[in-house]
Amino acid sequence: MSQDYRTDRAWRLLQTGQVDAAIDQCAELLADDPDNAFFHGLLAACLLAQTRLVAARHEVGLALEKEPENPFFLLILARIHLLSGQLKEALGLCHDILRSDPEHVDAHLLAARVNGLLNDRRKADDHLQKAMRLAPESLDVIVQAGEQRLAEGRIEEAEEHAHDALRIHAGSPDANVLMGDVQLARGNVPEAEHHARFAVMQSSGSNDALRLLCNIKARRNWFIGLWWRFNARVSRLGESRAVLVLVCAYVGFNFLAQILEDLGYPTSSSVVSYLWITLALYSWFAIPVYQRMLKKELAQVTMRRDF
Amino acid sequence: MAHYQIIDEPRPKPWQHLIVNPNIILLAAIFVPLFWNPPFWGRFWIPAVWLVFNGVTLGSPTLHKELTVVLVGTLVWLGILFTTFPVLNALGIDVAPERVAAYLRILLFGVFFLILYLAVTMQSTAWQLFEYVRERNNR
Repeated sequence: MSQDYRTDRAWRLLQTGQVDAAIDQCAELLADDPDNAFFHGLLAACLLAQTRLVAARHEVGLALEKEPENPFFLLILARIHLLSGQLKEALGLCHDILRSDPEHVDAHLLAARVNGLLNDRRKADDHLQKAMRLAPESLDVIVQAGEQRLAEGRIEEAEEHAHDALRIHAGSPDANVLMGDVQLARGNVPEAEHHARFAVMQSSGSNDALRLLCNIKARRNWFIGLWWRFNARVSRLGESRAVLVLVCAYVGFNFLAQILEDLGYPTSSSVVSYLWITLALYSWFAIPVYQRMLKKELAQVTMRRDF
Repeated sequence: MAHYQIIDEPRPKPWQHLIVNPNIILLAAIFVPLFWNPPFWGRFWIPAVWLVFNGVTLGSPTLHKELTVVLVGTLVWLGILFTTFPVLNALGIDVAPERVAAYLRILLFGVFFLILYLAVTMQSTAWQLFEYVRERNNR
C-alpha cells in the first residue's frame, strides 16, 4: 500500500471515530518514516481524540521541532492546552496562528471557545462572528455557535443553529449531538435519545455523543442520575482535587461520628456512620450499574455499513 | 515489521502475568483487613509495596510520580503518627490519650487512603493503556 493511501486512510479513520485503527495506521506510517512531521502531527491528533494528553503533547512537540510554524500542529497543541486547563497558553497559540493567517477559521473557533471558558463573552462572540463571516456554511462553525448559545441558555437560537447544521449535513455526529443537547434542555428526552443514538451510530468514538447518551440515562434514572451529576462535578475539579475531596469527606464523616459519640449521642453517631457506609456502597455500585446500562444501550446501536 | 513506540504506552516486563488492575490493590487494602489483619502494620505498607511493584512491572510512565506520592505520603503519615502526642504535650493540651487516639486513627486512615487513591489514580491510566495495547495485540 502506498504512503499516500495509508495517510488518507488514517485521516478517514480519525474522522469517522475509529481512533484505535487510526493510531495503528499512524504508528505503521511512523515505523516506516519516523522523521515525517505530518505523521507525528496526525498521530498527535488521534491521541488527542483519546485524551492521551502526555503522548499527544510529545508527538506534536516532535512535529513542531521540524515545522515550528505549521498552523495544524499549533492548533493541536492549543487543543492540548485547552484540555489540560491551560487556557491562556491555548489562547496565545490561537493568536499566533491568527497573526500569520487572520482568516484561519479553526483558530477563530478555538479562540471563541477559550474566551468563553475565560468568561470573556465579548471576545468569544467576536471570534465566533468572524468565523461565521469567513465560513457561513461551515458545519463546525454552526455547531459551535449553537453550543455557545446553548451554554448561554438561549435555547431557541441554539435550536435554529442545530436545524441549520442538520440541513447542511444530516448525518453529522456533531450536528446530531447539538440537536440532542437542545432537545434534552427542552426536556424532550426521547427526541434527544434518537439524536444521541444516531450520533453514536455515525461515530462510535465521539466523546460528545457518549456524553449526551450518559446525560440522557442520568435524566431517565434517578439512582444513576445522582451519581452521574456528583461524578461530573467532582471530575471537573481534576483528579488530585477530586481524590482530596473524597478523602476529606471520609475524614469529616468519621470525625463527626466520633465527636457525636464523645458528646454522648451514640444514636446520632451511628446514623452518621451508616450514612457514610450507604454513600460508600452507593458510589461503589453506581459505577458498574451505570457501565452495564451504557453497554446495553450501545449494543443496541447498529453501526453504519462502511464502519 | 518495525513498530513505533508511543511514549505513554507501558513497556511491560517479562513477569507481566503478575500485573493487576491497581483498583484491586485499593479494594484489597480496604476489605482484606476486615477479615485478616496482617502483622507488623502490614495493612499499611503491603498495599504501598504492592502498588510500587505493580507500577515497575507495568512499566508505568508515571512511576516516578507514583513513587514520590508513596514516599512523601509515608513521611507525612509517620510525621503525624509520631508528632501528635509530643505536640499536644508541648502545647499543654491535656486530653485523655485514648480520646486523641480515636481521632488520630481516623486521620491516619484518611492520609493512608489519600496516598493510595492518588497513586492508584495515576497508575490506572497506565493500566488502561496496558489493557488497550494487550487487546489490540490480541486482535
